[in-house]
Amino acid sequence: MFDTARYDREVLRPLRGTHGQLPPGDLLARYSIDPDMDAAELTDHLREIRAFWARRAQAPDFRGEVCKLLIHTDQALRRTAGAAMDDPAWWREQAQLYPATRTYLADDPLDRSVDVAATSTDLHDWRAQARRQFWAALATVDRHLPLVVAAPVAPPRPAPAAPAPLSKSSLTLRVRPTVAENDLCRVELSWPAEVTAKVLVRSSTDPSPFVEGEEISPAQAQQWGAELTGTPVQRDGRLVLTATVPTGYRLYLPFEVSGAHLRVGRPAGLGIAVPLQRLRIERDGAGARVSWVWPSDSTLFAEVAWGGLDAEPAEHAEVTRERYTTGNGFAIPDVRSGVRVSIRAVADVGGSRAYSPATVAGLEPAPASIAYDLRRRWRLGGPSELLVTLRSDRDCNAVQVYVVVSAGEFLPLDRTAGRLHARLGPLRLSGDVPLVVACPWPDVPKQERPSWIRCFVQAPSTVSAVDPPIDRMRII
Amino acid sequence: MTAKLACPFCYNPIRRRGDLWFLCRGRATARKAACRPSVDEARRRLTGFAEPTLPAFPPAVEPSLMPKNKVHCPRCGGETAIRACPHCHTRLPQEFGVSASPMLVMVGARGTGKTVYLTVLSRELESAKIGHEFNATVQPIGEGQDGFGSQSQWLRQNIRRVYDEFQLFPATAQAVDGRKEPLVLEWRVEHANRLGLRRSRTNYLSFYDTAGEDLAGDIETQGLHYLRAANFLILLLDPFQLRGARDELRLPAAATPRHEPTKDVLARITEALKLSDHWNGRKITVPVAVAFTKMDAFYDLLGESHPLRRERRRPGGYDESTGQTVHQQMGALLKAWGGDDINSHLRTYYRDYQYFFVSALGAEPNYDNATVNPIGVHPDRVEEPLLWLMHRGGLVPKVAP
Repeated sequence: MFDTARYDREVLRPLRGTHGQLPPGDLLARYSIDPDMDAAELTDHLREIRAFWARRAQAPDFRGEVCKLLIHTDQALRRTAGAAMDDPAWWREQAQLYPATRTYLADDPLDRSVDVAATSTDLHDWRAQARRQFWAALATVDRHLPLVVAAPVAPPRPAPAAPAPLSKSSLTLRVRPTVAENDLCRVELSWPAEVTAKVLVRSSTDPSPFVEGEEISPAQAQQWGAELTGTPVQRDGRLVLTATVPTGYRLYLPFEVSGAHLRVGRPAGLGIAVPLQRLRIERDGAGARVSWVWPSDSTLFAEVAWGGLDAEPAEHAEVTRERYTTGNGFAIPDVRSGVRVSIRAVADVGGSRAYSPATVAGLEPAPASIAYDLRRRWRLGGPSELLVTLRSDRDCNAVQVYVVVSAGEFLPLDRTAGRLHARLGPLRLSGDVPLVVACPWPDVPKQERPSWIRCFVQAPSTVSAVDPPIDRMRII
Repeated sequence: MTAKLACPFCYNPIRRRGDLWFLCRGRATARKAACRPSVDEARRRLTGFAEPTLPAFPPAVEPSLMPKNKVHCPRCGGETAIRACPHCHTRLPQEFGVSASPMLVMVGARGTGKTVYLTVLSRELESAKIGHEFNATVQPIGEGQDGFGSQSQWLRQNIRRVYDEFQLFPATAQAVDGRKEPLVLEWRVEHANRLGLRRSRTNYLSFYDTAGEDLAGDIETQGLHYLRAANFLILLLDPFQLRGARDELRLPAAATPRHEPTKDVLARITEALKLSDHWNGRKITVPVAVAFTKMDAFYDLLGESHPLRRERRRPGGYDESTGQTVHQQMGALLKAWGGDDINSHLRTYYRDYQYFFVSALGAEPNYDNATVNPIGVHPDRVEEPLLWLMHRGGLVPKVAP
């Protein structure tokens, strides 16, 4: 009897939050198959569990998502294994294979499965082939998972050192931050006290060009990073070197001194207050919205400082992740005259605060804003006039105003989308002083209504025209 | 004419608050044993909820003009004041029926971003910003069952997925037998009455998110009784489906999957609505907010001084002036993108519609990986279609010019 509650508890729930593709896992558990089932029971059970997935796939919660992935994976398996899935022997093979296969997936499932298949399924080569394809497909998916699953705050880390055969004697470092002050952090680097050779440690933000285990000359070593100086002290069976380094992500590489050569140890990486990435300032009305990508480390908050383009930051704010999410970024109220924003990530290191290097961006002053209004002036015994009232937020010279008339349901998007009715200018606008210019009222036949009057503004410097309310632009 | 009151869960009309049923609380009395929960067939049929619930029963016929708020269960004799829908027997909030509770149906072709929009809109409505602006408290209501968590759980899960996990959604599952649980939000607002006294008013906004596949066939569309019961429609249009818009952008193939033409989907919705009370013989009378989604893709193209990006609504209600500007600008863009047929269809068949500019995410996502932009979710103008509709329904005021 298929126990849905147990299945939910033991299979669906552990897969909660899986998106894109299912990770490799216990095939028999996912199908809830008892290896002792006979062929008829197996067929019935597969029908039942597939129907269960189809039903649960409609659920609006995580179960729906997981069941859709199970259905998708099942379809892929049916394509490769085919009728073998209805054979209890095939499932018994899976029961034997599963533990070895699962542990091996992280390395190279394809080769391993070949070995296993060769020893246990000599009589069923076609099944072994199907199985190989299935597990290989899952392993491929597994390797690509980090690309599928969102990494919203992936810091730009240096690539690790080139892969090398693991050496049992490779010197391995432990790196631990102890205290920080502003953008400097004190770290403790330690290695086993049994290492009798002299150890040098170099650090850099760049990836190491050396291969673990190789022997290099001191001159080669000096081409990468800077040496961390100091005298190691013995503590708890380890030799501990204390050094002060800048915050951010750094790579630490130990070298064992062996005569005139240095033997490269295993690199260790540590990020302390990793800088905020992709700082972006976008105009939002008169203000601006600042956004960035948070690092994945334990950043407490971002310190945002802003001010005029050529001035020191006059305003500061501490923005937590929650405040950032709730506020849809960080809003600066008025940036019409331009703004320069500097942000630093602030992290906790042993009770002290570490500040990341600053990330800086600027926004140029907003273009001059020229607002216009339209009004009809009726004249006794004469044609009526169109009064265009222009108002700029700063002084503007040689402003040309194109009055465009267009028929249709919607207003013209640009000046070529209508008929040029009048060209006003060149005009000189003084900041906040309205200028009224008159031109004949456009004569629009009734059959062309509704029509629109819209002004397009051109000036030697960049300007933006602000339209009046829509009903002032419409000729009914 | 659409019923003024309807169950926010099953969308069946309810004549008046006095017609609401009661739900037994399952409390034993001195003389009788308590009622036991059992599966309610009516509820299962209408809403798909198949968990055991305590029995619902109709109110006794009272000669009095004042219906009782507390009654006794005819089976166990226990006292109860819990209200339930007379059709689907789903528990309703105590204040349901006192004020208007409009039903909003979101329609749109597959891949227009309805689920993302509903998730982001709900979160925005629950945010402190909207709360302060309207002096309102907004929260999802409803109960769930095993395997089919409540819509509030669904919403929390979706919000977590989009905001914390930076994941987008696969295509929404097709409604089972044409039904799917709506998302019901309680909108409780404090306001001053004509005498200046502070009063609270509670409205229930029921959102029904149609799956794109539900609109793929004539029969399914006609089966959407939610569409016919709606008080308002939010029609989401994907501009990427318009060739003119697509040509202006450099979009990855994953952003422009081949779907049925927008006009065909719109025509199907229209046909379904023509079979309902919304059709007055000439036009469809239900107000339709036509929201163009994914507009963040056009930010660079429009430029920061474009009215659609520069002009912001004034807070405190629906801003008619900004709304008209957006309508005009979007209408002109629709025409420029070769979507004249969509506008003609709307003009011909719909009496009351308005265009909106919406970006639920506020920054271009990674369409290939279906992930949100790493800078996070920055919704842009998502609440404007709803404010317009709520203004139409008399629930929010118009901002003074």
